[in-house]
Amino acid sequence: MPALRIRTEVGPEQLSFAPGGSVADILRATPYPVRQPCGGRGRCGGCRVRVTEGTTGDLTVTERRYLSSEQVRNGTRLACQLIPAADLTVEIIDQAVAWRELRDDEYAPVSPPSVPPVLSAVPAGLGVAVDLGTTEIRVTLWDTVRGRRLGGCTGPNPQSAFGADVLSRLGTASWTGEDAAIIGRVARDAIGDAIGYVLRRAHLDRSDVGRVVIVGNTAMLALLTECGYDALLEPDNWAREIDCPVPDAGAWVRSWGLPSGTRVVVARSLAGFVGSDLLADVLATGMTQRSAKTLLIDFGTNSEIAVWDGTTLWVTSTPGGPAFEGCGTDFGVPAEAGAVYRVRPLAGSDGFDCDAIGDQPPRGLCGSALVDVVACLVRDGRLKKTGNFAREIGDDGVVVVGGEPELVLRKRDVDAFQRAKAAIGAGTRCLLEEAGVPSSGLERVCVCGAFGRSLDVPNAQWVGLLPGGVCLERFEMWGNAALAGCELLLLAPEGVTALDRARSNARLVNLARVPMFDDRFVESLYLEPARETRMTEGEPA
Amino acid sequence: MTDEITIEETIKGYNEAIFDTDRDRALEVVHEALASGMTPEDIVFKVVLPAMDQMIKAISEAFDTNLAQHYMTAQIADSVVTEMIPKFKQAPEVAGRVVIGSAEGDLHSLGKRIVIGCLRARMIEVTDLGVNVSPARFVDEAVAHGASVIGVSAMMVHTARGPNGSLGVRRILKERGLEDRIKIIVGGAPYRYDHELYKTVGADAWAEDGVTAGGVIAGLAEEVPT
Repeated sequence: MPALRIRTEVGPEQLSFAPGGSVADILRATPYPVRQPCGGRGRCGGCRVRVTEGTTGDLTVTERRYLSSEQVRNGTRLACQLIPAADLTVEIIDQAVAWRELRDDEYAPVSPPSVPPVLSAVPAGLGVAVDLGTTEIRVTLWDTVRGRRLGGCTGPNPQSAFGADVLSRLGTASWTGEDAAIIGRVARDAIGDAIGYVLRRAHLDRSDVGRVVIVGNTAMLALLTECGYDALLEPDNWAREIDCPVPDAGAWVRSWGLPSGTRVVVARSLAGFVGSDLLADVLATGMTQRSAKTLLIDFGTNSEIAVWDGTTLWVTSTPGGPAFEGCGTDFGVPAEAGAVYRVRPLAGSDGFDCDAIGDQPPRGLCGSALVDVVACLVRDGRLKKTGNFAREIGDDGVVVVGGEPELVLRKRDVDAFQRAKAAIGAGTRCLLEEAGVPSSGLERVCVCGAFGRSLDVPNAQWVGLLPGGVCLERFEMWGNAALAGCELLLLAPEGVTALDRARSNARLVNLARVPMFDDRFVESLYLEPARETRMTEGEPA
Repeated sequence: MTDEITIEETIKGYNEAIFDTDRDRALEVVHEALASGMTPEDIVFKVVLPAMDQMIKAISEAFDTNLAQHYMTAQIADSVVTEMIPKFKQAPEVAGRVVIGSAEGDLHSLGKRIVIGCLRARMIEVTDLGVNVSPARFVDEAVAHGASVIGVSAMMVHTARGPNGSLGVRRILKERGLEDRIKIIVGGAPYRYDHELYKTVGADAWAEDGVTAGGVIAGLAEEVPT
């Protein structure tokens, strides 16, 4: 059998393969998977490898589209497109497991808990909080005795290779038991890897870790524990609690190289479509501990929405797709170095002024920048509220950033944006209507999710992503609130009690069964401020 | 009485309104044309249906239409045709009978609504079976309504590929010896990512989007002897 050779941290590795699959396929079940932001469909250009030795076929149309001439010259290819027939040596550019430290601005702005943590709850001094997201995994390391964060990292969830969104990943897992085992393992390995990364950065030893707490959406927890993932494909189970117990904590802890007594807690979900990540958001923002009427939106590949009316917590979730996490559009990137996160119109021209993370040359646009671009173009009339460009622009789209790579907003990107924002806009309206809370009556709006802290609220309101009629000072930008909530669970045992209270006060709303959802969705496709929620007497809920 | 409006002006005005997804403007164009003496038959056959075909053509040539346009094309066409038919000199013949629903385990209905609007506009009798429809119900209802086409919508990979979607409908059609009389068409996101998937799940045809599906189903309904 021919072999694929790669260079890894620990030296060269040789992987034999049966010809027919792509380089991405060959790497998928190894410890060295390549990133697949679009799920391997050739829609993102995010799985680059460089061929250093061996012969390959011609570039595919997809590769010609995503790779610059410079990249083509130095042997760069896309792993999902490159199908080797003979021995090949490659260097993986877009590694699936590539951790980086979390920046200060990525943490939710919460102070550590005022109550000193109870020592007896944590046998050793170090604790780890894990937010297992569909697209990204975030991990922080804590000195639980002093209540101090020692470090944190983020990296892509390598399960993306098995489907970009929750349902396609659940579908793959349910197709064969073998895949389910691999999908579970790659997530567990990634968590172990991330724990190793933060410990190394903090110059600390694995032997001091005593507790690991994991939150996530229900599908991620089911795939992690290899428990109940097939039940999640049945709509009847979406509103039921899906139990995802850790099957063998000892084995997990061993594979992570942690002491045998380490406690692993997978925080319980609320229901099939509302995970413990939303509960962690609720905990971090303290929304149920005050009387203020609150809307919370956690933007992600799967977005969760919650409304607190003062006595009841109304919750739902809506699969808007990964457009806000930097996938699903041609130029989308996660919020990493080189990602443009803010865009303003450049005075006196039709160009744009861009801020990129880490002052690097712009590599792509992350979700918050996409909102800015669309809002700017709608404001200046180049984009119509229907999602069509003005006639003089035609279908070539608008150049947002010139140069190499040129970042162009095309109509299909606008369509992806419209669908994602309509799912959230319609979900928000339906939930507010079900709860009987008009958007003008909201006293707090908590915006959570990776892009949350750099999102421009007026722009988001202008295109109908966030509810209108709410003044600016009522918006709170939380960023990774689910991670913050997970940290509270790690540090303060009373968090669990608060969580249980929130759970028992919760009312689930399955949007698929809300008769008005489709109409709200279509209305929300338009790029215009969201309409005021209607609370007409007698209108069926 | 308004001034004489040419059919070209009406076509142009209607198409622009469709492109801008402006329902009010589309209806205004139609009513102005009626008032100036255009027949309801001409409005349907020379304005509304060609506009739908033009949208299908635009979709097939490049990705330059969006979901809002698809939805409004269907809804506007449906409401105009529904308004015009009672004004026809002679009731139009039913162009075919179709049952349509979302596969078992699938609660998505938007794509299906687009298809239904387009089919009604084409004067095809559609029975909407709703969402989460079992294979047996698809077949029973098709037989009960004398339908020659079953439309199975599935937005998720498992409902598209699973045994209780199109595959189940195919199995029952075979068991009951109905395969010559009833065709299956599928649609939904999974079919867009794998253009051969419709064959794997035993369907006779698939369509990329709701507006195109209207045209494909109309073609299938014509093929099958009723």
